[in-house]
Amino acid sequence: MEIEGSKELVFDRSISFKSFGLIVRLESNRRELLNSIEQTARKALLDDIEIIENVRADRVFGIAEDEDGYIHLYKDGVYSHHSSDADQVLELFVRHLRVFIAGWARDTVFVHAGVVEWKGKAIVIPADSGKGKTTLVLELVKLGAGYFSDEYAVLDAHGLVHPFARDLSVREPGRVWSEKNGIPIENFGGRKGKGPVPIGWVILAEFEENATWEPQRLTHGEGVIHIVQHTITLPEFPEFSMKVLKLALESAIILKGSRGDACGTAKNILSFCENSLN
Amino acid sequence: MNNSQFPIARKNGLVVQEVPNEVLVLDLNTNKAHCLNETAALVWKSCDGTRTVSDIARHVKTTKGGEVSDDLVWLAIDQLNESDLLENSLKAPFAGTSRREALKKIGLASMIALPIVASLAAPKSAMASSSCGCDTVVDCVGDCPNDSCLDGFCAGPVGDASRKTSSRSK
Repeated sequence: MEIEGSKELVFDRSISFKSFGLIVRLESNRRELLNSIEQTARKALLDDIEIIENVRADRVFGIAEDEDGYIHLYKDGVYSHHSSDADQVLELFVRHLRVFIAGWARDTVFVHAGVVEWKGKAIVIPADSGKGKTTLVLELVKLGAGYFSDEYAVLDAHGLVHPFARDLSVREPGRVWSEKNGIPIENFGGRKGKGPVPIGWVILAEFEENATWEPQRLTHGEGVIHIVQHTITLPEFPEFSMKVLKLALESAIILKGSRGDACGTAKNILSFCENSLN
Repeated sequence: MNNSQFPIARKNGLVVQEVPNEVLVLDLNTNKAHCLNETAALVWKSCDGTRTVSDIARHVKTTKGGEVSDDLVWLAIDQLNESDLLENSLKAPFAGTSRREALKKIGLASMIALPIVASLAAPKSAMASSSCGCDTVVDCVGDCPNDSCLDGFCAGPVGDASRKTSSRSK
């Protein structure tokens, strides 16, 4: 792509990898920068990448440094962003990479949700950003649940949930959220859960000041249409996504309601889960 | 009340999944997901263009048992119509009453569950449902950086002047 009056960057170094059935090529004009991009991609995808050679990529990310030290990001050859702050560009790259993987993954459905494992079953908390998903996940983990993710419920074709245990994006006053300042679950005394596991419970909880957790139970179908809202893979693979969601929620208990503080709600949720197992 | 109309269930542009006692419908045109309870699903499946509302009421009665009025079928059709799940648009003749009033009236007389179509929006794009995706900076709330909406994502402070480049792979 040529832009009038622009400088040209030559991407003469590249590496390709496969993740969730998709092939991604990373290109750069500096060896150190390419290494840095690769490490960033590995961390973003929790090392679930396999380096491959000489194949056609589903997506190409180019990150290059110009002669004045500016870092430029390209997606499939199309300019995206530039900055003198490499971290900012890498942050943006991670988000584009994740959305691409989550939206176009083969044979996998990504749901925007917090997930923990409790007694061999998953507790899935679908929610948008800023709705207290991470906080609730953290409280559940402090009570002994295994950490799966504060970002995605990753479902396979059988509807089982796989861990996507990235570092937690804990929100604190004065702290700018970014991928690189996530906090490992172990720092909170928690542990990572082992999967895949079937979904046991879906918690649709919206934070409300002073609310008490007195949820109503939804039907299987109502649960699916609520989770559909948060299903990233749905626009690209609607039939497959619907089939997987139907399977995934087949024996799940789906609860919906307003919740107050995360600590009290987490105790109530685990108590409910425990009772429903007996 | 014109009960001689022939409602037709829409088929194109829909992903349909059946679960016990419910039918799920994803509308690819409107990006909405619908959950039809058993009664609404039965009425919807009966809308084959050959049955009138009264025929459908009889069909539902035969299948489910109990008394089924034309009003109950209209209640389902009204919701199916609103959800864009019928080929032909039909207006429910509730004779000047609102759906809520009609529902109350029908509910008291009905022996089977009232038809319910629950609907929610589905994401239009992967970006729309992703963490910290945004159209404008006002979407950047909560645990996302909220200084700017950059290339579809909420981002931290952006201070660089505009600077264009082009790329070439080697």
